[in-house]
Amino acid sequence: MSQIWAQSAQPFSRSGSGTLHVRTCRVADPASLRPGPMALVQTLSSAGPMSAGGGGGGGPSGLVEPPLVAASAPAAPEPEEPVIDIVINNVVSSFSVSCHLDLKHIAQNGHNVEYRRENGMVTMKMRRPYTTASMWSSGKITCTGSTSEAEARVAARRVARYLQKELSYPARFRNFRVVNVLGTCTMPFSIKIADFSQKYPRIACYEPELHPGVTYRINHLKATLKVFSTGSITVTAPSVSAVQQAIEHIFPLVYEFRKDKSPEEAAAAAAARARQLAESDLELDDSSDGSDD
Amino acid sequence: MAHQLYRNTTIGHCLQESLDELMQYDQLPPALAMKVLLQFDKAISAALANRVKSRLSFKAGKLNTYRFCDNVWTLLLTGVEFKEVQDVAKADRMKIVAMDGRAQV
Repeated sequence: MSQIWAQSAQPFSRSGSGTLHVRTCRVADPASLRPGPMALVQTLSSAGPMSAGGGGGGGPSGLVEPPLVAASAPAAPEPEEPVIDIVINNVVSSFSVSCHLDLKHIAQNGHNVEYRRENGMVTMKMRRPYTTASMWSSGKITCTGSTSEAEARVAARRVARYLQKELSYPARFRNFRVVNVLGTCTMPFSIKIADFSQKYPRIACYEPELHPGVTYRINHLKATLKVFSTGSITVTAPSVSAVQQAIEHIFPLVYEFRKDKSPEEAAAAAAARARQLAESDLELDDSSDGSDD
Repeated sequence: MAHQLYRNTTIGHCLQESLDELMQYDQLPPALAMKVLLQFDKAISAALANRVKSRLSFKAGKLNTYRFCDNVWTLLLTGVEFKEVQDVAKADRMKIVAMDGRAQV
């Protein structure tokens, strides 16, 4: 039911779920992982090359079926869900139209624009894909809100095309680069973050009075992860593949400090997951994987 | 002091036309006409704020465009339905020009 957008602060509303489920890491039967972190890393890295192809593409059919799953599918007495979904929430990109932009003119003649002089930039929102472009008079534009790298590129091109076509600027699409990617994922277990932060005193930063999560930085990937005691991890990194690698890196470290849930909690979590899967399968129109009961 | 938003209304146009007519026949100096318009701005803002009691709500099918520049919101809506107790009016297209009530011109 469409509503009058003038009433709400946000002029646009999301149509359907905009999140993309990138099923990248497939963790096989948890029993086989217990021997130690080295075995874990091997499992993940073998799943890595297979899923990188599916995950990096970023399309809606990002479901990957590495051979490991076939082995664990019949053995499903464990209430633990063996799949880690990494959801890409936000992709920020930056590009230039290599021409000076008259912000006042854009603000007065453009559609779906806001111009606040105190910020010195024009904010334009696109409906499809649902993104926000911030433009400066120098011609530099930042595009935020996409859910994949490909979508970010499309959104950026649409913005440049709008400037070219509707407002007749000599705009060129130059220097496009993805600046930041935000991904989140939930571990199927809780994490003892106090012990975790104590094991890695240099790399992890935990200040419970400031923030309830541990800030873990991976320098070689330039990724920052926030690890929470509920098992949720948010990652910001320069690309989607870096996000995936960061999760793969942190999984064994975090697995060591897992706090197993009680049977009722685990059953509730599995039920919630199954509901989520059912909803996403309805949307994507894919045949679901073997984890249904 | 109050913004000159309400000059672009039916009543505002009528006032301006009347003042222009009087100026044409030299019955009114232009400075006085300016003063009248400024007084009109103040009076209409006060009247709408204090003396208008009726409530009218509207609902639109789609917000086509929005624009925010110089503290002025311009909204273009389509498929608008106005409701006041009973269904009163419909409009295919509607333009809303809104300014901040507390801001200076």
